[in-house]
Amino acid sequence: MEALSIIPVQFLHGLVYGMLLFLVASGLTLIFGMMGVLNFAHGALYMLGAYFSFSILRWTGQFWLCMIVAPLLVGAFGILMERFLLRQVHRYGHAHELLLTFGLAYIIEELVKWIWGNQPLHVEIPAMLAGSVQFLGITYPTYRLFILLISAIVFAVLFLILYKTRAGIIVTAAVSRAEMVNALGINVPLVFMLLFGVGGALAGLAGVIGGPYLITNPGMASTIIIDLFVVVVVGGLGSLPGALLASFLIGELQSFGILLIPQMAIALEFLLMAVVLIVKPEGLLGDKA
Amino acid sequence: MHRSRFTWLQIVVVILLLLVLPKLISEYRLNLVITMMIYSIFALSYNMLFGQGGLLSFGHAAYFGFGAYTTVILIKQLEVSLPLGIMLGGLAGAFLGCAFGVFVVRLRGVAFALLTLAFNQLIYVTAEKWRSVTGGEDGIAFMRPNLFLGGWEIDLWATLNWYYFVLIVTVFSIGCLWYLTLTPLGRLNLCMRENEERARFIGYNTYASRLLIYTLAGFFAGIAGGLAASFQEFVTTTFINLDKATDVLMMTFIGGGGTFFGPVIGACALTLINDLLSSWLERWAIVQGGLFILLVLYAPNGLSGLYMSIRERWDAQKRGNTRS
Amino acid sequence: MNTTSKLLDIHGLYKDFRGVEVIKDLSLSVCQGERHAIIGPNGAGKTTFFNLITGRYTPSKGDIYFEGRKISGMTPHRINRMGISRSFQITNIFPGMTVFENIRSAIFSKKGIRWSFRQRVSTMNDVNQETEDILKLIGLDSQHHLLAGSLDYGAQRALEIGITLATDPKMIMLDEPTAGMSIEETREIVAMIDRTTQGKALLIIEHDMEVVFSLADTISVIHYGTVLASGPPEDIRNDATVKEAYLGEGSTC
Repeated sequence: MEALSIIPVQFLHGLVYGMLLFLVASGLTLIFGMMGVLNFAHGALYMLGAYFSFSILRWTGQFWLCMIVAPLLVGAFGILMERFLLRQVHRYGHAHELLLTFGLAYIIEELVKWIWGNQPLHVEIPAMLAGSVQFLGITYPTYRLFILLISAIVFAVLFLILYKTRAGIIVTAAVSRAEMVNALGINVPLVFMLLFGVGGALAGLAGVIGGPYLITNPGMASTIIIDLFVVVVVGGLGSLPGALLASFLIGELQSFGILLIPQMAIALEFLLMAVVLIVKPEGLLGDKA
Repeated sequence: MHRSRFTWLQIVVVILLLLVLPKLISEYRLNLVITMMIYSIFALSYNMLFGQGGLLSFGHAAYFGFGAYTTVILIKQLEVSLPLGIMLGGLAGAFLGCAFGVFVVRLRGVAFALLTLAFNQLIYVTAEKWRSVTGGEDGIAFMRPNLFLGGWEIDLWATLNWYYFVLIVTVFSIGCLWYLTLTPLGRLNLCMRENEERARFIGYNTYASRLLIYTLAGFFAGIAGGLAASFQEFVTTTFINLDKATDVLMMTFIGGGGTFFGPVIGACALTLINDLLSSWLERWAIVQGGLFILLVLYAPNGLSGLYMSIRERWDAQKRGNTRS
Repeated sequence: MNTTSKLLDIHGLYKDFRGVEVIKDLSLSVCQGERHAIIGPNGAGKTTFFNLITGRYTPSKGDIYFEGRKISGMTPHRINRMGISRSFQITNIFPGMTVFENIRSAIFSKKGIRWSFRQRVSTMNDVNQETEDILKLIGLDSQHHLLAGSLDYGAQRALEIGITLATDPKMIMLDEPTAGMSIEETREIVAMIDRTTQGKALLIIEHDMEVVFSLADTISVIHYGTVLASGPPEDIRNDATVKEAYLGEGSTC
């Protein structure tokens, strides 16, 4: 019984991490597809979400408040980042933009260490989500199911907005044909700025709900950014369905990899990324053009 | 024709100064200068790709670290001499550079950056997990062997002798790298940065040329890695991790990739300021990050580029004054 | 037909992009020393045709022979080394390097000095002399220390052609060398082309009819990816189908 139930449990673990990854990766891949900017600081935005949440929780004790306020703060941060920093170096090209976001990731990590300290912080899981539930013969922590639920709600909303509303269709169109959208007379810089806001807010939300689960610490940004790069590359630079598929794959690969081949689990991920870049640089679901 | 304004006289003065330096400064400072020299080689090898080749790599630590491990393992297991160990470290870096280069030099821009990063992580994870060979996170400690020249035994454990050893390797490596920029191959590297397609249409095999440059960059990174490991008498995964890869990027960028000696300035400045500031400014890294961002925003050619443009403006102003 | 005198020989060439046929059943040949102009309306496939010859694209069907050897499928640098050199419609130079180095990079390639690190470039007197010669030929010798990107448009176009000439090709291909130039600049550059390509095969895409008729001894009209008519300038001028398709009814040129 024990041995049998390990498979669905590992699967759920992989799913939870995969969905959390997707929450962060969705903004990253949309920004990349639309602007060609690979945002090195996207992991730092996720980390800021976790740390903001920690402080808000300390002052107010309201986890639900964190889930609203922290993403808004991170989203605002993303907007400021785009408007006052990234836009300045746009004319130097994408490699230069990558350098800037790398510098931002570096300095945000240092600032976080300065303000909140080098030590990992303990974030309490709200009482009503503590403990675990039993279903289908397995026992699973309630909080992780909550992460799954929130992620599912966010995807549903995201997909509805992207594929059913005018604003969303502009964004998806811009991902594949940015110059066409520009020609339609749409204020592209404004769309970029808002995209950074929304992408930042999603990363921030992932930070809030991921913080208690993945441990809030100053290294969390550089840990997740590598996974995010793998997701974005494997899924296809700029492809949202690709990012979803790749997030799921990476989550499961890590979950079962650690179980089956603990020595090689992390290497597998980079191997996958390298192989995709070599064999199919546009990614699994990416558009070649 | 060459953009940097160093003359032979200036170079001779600098080398003479380095020769008498042990008389002028303390042993502690001398060790700092050794660090600067080693990182100068590393940063210059990186700049073959970054400044001269126009490629942004996030994986140059792979060759540095691979060279370091090779040097240490060969010296410890096979008891090869130090110069041979470092040379073989360089060759190991070149070998790995060529093997990875076959794939990475096909790509440009962000894809190139990502694949170099993936390869760096692969090598890093291998070093971390393959404990029987690399010692994992504990690394490998060893003793810097003495140097036998003819009948003489030179004690490299003495800081003074070690300093001169590193100085010779550094002057030789930097000399090679500088000479390379003055040869047709070095000029071709600039051509490919400026317009790779045009280079192809006038008869250059840009893929093979990029691969050769990438291999050479791996060689000098390996030399620097071998030196660094011999200096610390220790090698561990921090020689090969992503932080090391981004350190060399920061040094090169802050110093400026547009001039030959820019990366040397970056390597020396960061090593020196890190040492000076870290003792009384706990969060020195914030200053470094801030400096990096300011340069990205306002001086994309780094400190040396900033200096050059100020000097140009100064010269123009002076010319304007004398005319009027 | 005597095929040995033919430098370039193309028969039944096709190219499609995602099912759209841009070049279809195109046949054309260029002889030693011939000056061959390609004309045709925008979007006729002229530049695609150039890209097929120089190896930027590979044909979907059909082969290209140069001096009797098949070159279709070869990489651009190999084709260049066979003796074909081209210029680009959109200026394609090394903007961050000096005018001198722009030309010298092509001279190096021509001489096969590509990876050498036995000698410093500044001591290679023969290469530097040849570079100066080319610079004089294209009239940029007084500007040789300027950065190529800082030149004015006309000088950049001249440099573009200079780079093409410097590899000393057997066949020179120029893609709209006078595009975007004033009448005066056009006159200068045409005189320069005329001067520098004497005795060599020249394949030139050009819109300006005055230029075409002053330079070419053969004209081919490309329309919808195929050769509509080909022959001496006088024949083309009087060809009814050409008038209809391209020059327009009642054209006076």
